[in-house]
Amino acid sequence: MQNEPVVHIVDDDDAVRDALSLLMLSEDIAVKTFASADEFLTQHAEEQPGCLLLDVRMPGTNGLELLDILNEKKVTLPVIFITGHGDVHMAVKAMKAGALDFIEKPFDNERLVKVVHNCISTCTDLNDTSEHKREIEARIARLTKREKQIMGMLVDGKQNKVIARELGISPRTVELHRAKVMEKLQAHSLSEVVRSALLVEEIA
Amino acid sequence: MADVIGSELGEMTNHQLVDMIKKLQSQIKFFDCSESHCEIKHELEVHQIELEMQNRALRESQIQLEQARDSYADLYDFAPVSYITFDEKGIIDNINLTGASLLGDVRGNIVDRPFTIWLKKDNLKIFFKHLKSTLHSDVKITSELQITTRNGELLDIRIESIRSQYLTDNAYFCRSVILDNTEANRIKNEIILQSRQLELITDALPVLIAYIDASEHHLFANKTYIESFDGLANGIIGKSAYEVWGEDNYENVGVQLKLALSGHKVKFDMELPLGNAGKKYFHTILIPDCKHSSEVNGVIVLIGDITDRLAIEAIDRKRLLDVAHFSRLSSMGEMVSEIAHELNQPLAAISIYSDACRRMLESGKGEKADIVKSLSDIGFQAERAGAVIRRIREFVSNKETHQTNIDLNDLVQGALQLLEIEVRSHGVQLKLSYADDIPATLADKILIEQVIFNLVRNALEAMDEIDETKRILKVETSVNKFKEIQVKIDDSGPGLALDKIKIIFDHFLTTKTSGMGMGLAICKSIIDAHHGRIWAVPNDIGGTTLNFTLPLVKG
Repeated sequence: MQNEPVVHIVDDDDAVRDALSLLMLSEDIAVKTFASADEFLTQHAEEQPGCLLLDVRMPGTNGLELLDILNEKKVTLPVIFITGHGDVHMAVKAMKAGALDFIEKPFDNERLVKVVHNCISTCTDLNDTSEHKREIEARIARLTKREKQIMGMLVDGKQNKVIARELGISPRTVELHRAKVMEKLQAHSLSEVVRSALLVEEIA
Repeated sequence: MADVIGSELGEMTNHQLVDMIKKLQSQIKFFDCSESHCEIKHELEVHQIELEMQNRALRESQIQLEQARDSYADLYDFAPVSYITFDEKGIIDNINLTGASLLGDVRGNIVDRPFTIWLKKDNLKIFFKHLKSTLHSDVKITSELQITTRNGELLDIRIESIRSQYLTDNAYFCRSVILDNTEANRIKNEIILQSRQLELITDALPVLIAYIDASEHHLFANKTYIESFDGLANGIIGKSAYEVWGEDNYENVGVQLKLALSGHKVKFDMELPLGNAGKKYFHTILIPDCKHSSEVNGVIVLIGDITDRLAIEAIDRKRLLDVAHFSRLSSMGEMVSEIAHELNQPLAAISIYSDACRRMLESGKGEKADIVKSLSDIGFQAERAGAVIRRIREFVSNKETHQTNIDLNDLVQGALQLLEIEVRSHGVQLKLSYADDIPATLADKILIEQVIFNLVRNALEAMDEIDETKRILKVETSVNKFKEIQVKIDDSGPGLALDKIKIIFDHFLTTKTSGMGMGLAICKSIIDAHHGRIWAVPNDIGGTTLNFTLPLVKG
């Protein structure tokens, strides 16, 4: 049993935690739940394979701080962040700090299940293949100069209205550029845009 | 012997003279009248002695007379009133020293001159009429005149005259007393002027002023009072409070008046229906008048028409409600990210639960009990999201409210419930202390809740800079030593400089980089409108304590 992969869910919200564990169980994935980062740190057995579903916003030690602690302890458990709407800035920080992925609340459950499955079956990132990287590079190359600029700003966690102000254009125009960026990158969410950007950044 | 007697008699006392007569008479008997010339001589001697005695008595009475005359003259001259006698033409026959000094001259310059010299010109007629009246009647005649003294001083005098007759030719003359009325008149005029001024001032005041004596009768009323109640001055002075106020008003106010008459200062507000003016609202102060003793002489009644003030207050209150509403809307705007998070939680849970149920049903692997539980959990989470929305709607809705009896603890709990999201997202440790003996007081529920909300929110934001583990918020309700109800909010933030703390409730001051800094100013306006106090002080956990109090008002 020790080596069976387990999804560790750390979320302070009882309902979300309960729902997530039910979702995992419906997919026959073993789960362990923790109400806080500290609870996880004291109870987690390091040799346990699997992944960590981590809420960014929590009282006490928050998600980002826990990630830092794990990095320090050289725990290699892949981390998937759960973020609230509009927490892109935090999500970008998390990705830069080594998180595997982030998922915005309310969830795209399909994607969540897929990401978790990938994580625990291979313990590697599917996206982390050179072929995938080339594909992404090709998609980014199709962006106009303005679109690239806006993509960069989105990845920096800036909101539409902030971008509009900085570029001296209307938020509606930003919206259109943003839609175009997503379309060209074949991204379904902002997190996918961020992931693509980070991937290319690694190459560059 | 006769010579001896003659020369010595003047020096003998009356007693010795009597002895001498007795001795001489016994000698007459002794000589037995044998020698007639001797007898005659003796008789003469006796007679001489008797004459001497008479002479002496005469001299004594003359001295007494002279003394009496001198004292009369003194009395006449130095009496504190002026005596003066005129003949029928008004020529001064005699005048005492007081009189002369009143006219400002020596007696010699006055006697035998006409009194009209000193009279003010337009008084001549009055004087002669006075003189004529006196000389033609037996009663005392009194007139008031003005004279100019030798020094040029104008004096008010009162002259009282009576007719007399000269012994020599039976002609009539006039004996008069003159009193200087100048000072008395000056004081009288001053009093009249002062009371006139007082009347002018009290009449000009927009306050109803009256003095009611211990038997509840009006002794004084100013114009405003008279106009408000009757319109006729003689309709109020002397009348009782019952008569002036009317039966209905007396029923309400009479109790207060009796309280004031027992020595207590009384203040109260009341509504009076006043003629055509319709219903008016008055603030009344009854001040007992007990200057000289503990006994109350009467009551000073001050009534201010506060109808306009109340109307303005109502407008101010409406404005305050609008501002508070605006403040709530803007704070909601600032809290939007927290609210979104709060809604996201149940929505995420619902989404996951329903997806899990679908998967279990599709795969056929799910336990029925798990699915049923999940469905009920979905309902519960939907309810949770609904509660968040309900709370926000309630908070931003612009409800028309009025002053009601409030339970301070309830309001604190209500405000904290609204801020639950923020408290949690700021990672703040909440310490609550509710006093359980807080009496209800009259206040505007929505506004007071707004004050608590703004203060707590301010305290939360004050702790943004410090480490999350050190964020402590203490909220305490109590009844303080001034018998006010008090809310105390402590933060453990970095604290404020003393000069900042003093002006923290001023308009548009903000220590924050965002927001308009109006939250605390709104609090001050609201608390001021409730006659409470609001202030900030540094506390012993390094931060700031925000306090406000409300007076206990019975509803």
